[in-house]
Amino acid sequence: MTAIPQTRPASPPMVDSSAQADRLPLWLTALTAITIGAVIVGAYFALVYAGMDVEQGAVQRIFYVHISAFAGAFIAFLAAVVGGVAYLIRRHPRWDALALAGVEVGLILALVNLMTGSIWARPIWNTWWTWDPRLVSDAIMCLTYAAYLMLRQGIDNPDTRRRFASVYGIFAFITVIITLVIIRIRPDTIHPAVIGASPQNAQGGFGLTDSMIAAMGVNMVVWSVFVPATLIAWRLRLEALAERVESLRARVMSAD
Amino acid sequence: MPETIVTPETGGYLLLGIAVVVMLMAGFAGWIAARFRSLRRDLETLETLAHDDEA
Repeated sequence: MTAIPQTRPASPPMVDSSAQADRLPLWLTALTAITIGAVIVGAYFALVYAGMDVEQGAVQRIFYVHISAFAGAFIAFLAAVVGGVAYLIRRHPRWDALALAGVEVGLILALVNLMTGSIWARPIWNTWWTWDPRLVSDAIMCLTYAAYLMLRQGIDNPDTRRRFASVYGIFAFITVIITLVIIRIRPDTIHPAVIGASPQNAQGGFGLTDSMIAAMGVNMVVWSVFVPATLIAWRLRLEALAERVESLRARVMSAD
Repeated sequence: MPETIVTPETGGYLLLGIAVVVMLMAGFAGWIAARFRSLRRDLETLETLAHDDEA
C-alpha cells in the first residue's frame, strides 16, 4: 500500500501571476502605432499639404492642431463626465479611473490649445494674451480641471474622493460648453470662428481652401479621436497597475 | 491698381508652436512611462516580500 503524503491544502497564493497582467495587449500596441502614424500624417497635411495663408504666413498652420486639440479635450472631458455619472450609478472604481484619465488627457490637450493659440496671437494680434471672452473662458476651463486634480489629492478616503471627483467632473464640463459657445453669444470677442460666420470684430480669421479643409479634417480626426483614445487607454492601464500595487501593499502590510 | 498682399514672415512662431506641442505631448507620455517603471519596481519589491512571507 502506498502511503499518501499528508499535506495541508495549499493556501491561496498571496501573489497573483503578474506575467500575464503585465503583457501589453495587442490592441493597445496596434492603437498606439496607428496613433503615432496618424499624428505624422496629420503633421504632413498641416505643414506641407495645406496651402499657405497669404495674410498670416506660416503661423496659420498652427490652427490645424490648435482647433483639433480643443476638440480632443472636449472628447476627453466628456469621457470624464461619462466616468463620473457611471461611477455615481455603479460605484465601481474603474469608472472613476476613466473620469481621472479623461480629465488628465483633456487638460493636456486644453493646454496645447491654449498655448498654441497664444503663440498664434503674438504675430496676428500683436500680443501673447488679451482679456478676450474666449481666452478667459478657456483659461478658466483649464484652471477648473487643474483644481480637480489638486482637490482629488487632498481627500484620503477613496470613496469620498471618488464621489466628490465624479460630481466635480460633471459640473466642470459646464466650463467646456461655455468656452465652446462663447464666441457665438458674446459680440465683443475678437476670436475668429473657423467653422461658420465669425463675429464682426474677429481678427485673424481665414477662408478655407480645399487643401486647408482636408488638413483640418485629417487633424480633427487625429487629435479628437486617436490621440485622446490612446492616451486614455494608457492612463487606464497605469491606474490598473497602481490599483494592483496598492492592493498587494495592503495584503503584505496585513500579513506583517 | 490691384492691392498687393505682403505675406508676413511668421515661420518662427510656427516652430515655437510645434516645439510646445511636442514638449507637452512628450512630457505627458514620458510621465506615464516613468510612472509605469516606478510602479513595476514597487510591484516586484512587494511580490518578493509576499513570497518571503509565504515561505
